[in-house]
Amino acid sequence: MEKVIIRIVIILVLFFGLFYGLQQIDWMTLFKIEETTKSNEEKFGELIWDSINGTETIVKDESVNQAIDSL
Amino acid sequence: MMSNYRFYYEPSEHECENASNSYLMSLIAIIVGLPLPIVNLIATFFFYIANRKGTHFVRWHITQALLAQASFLIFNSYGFWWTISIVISDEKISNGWIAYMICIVIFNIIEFIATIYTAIQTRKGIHVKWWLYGDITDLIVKP
Repeated sequence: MEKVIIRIVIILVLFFGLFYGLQQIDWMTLFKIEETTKSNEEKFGELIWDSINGTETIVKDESVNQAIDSL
Repeated sequence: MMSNYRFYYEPSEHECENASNSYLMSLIAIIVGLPLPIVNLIATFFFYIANRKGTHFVRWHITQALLAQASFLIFNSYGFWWTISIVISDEKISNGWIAYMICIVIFNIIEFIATIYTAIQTRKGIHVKWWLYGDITDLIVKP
């Protein structure tokens, strides 16, 4: 029984030790995650804007826009 | 990490096949259940139910396979739901998530290789006892 408990502790320490160790590496910069997220966000934004531009009628009339903006 | 023994009796051909199948069960279920960790456990659990009245050799190996699956379920589910929360909620990809994923992938690969090896060995009638899981199984399964 004692052997089992010691081994459970060993395996847990091994797992969380590895987890802790790997966490020390800066994966976010290594995989360029923030930059990729930002550029993807921009691409998506453009895509959605393009599709709205293509399918809807956009009102560019100043008097209408001013009235909406003042809300 | 594991040790091979001769079992205290010579298991028959049929017993070896059943014991080996219990490991195969968890491997086959991986194909279906790779993203959903619980599928593996359910597959192994029903195999366990079906064979719980089997001979000592068969019961021993089914229990070892089941214990391994059950303990991996905890870690894999945590990773699975962490990933889902990144996809559907405001949770962002973080250093911790990447580290955790690498961690469970390493542990799963080790378990995967161990399972294949054990399935082959038990088919030959060799009693393979895993580190830790073999000891717990010894405590649970009595002849």
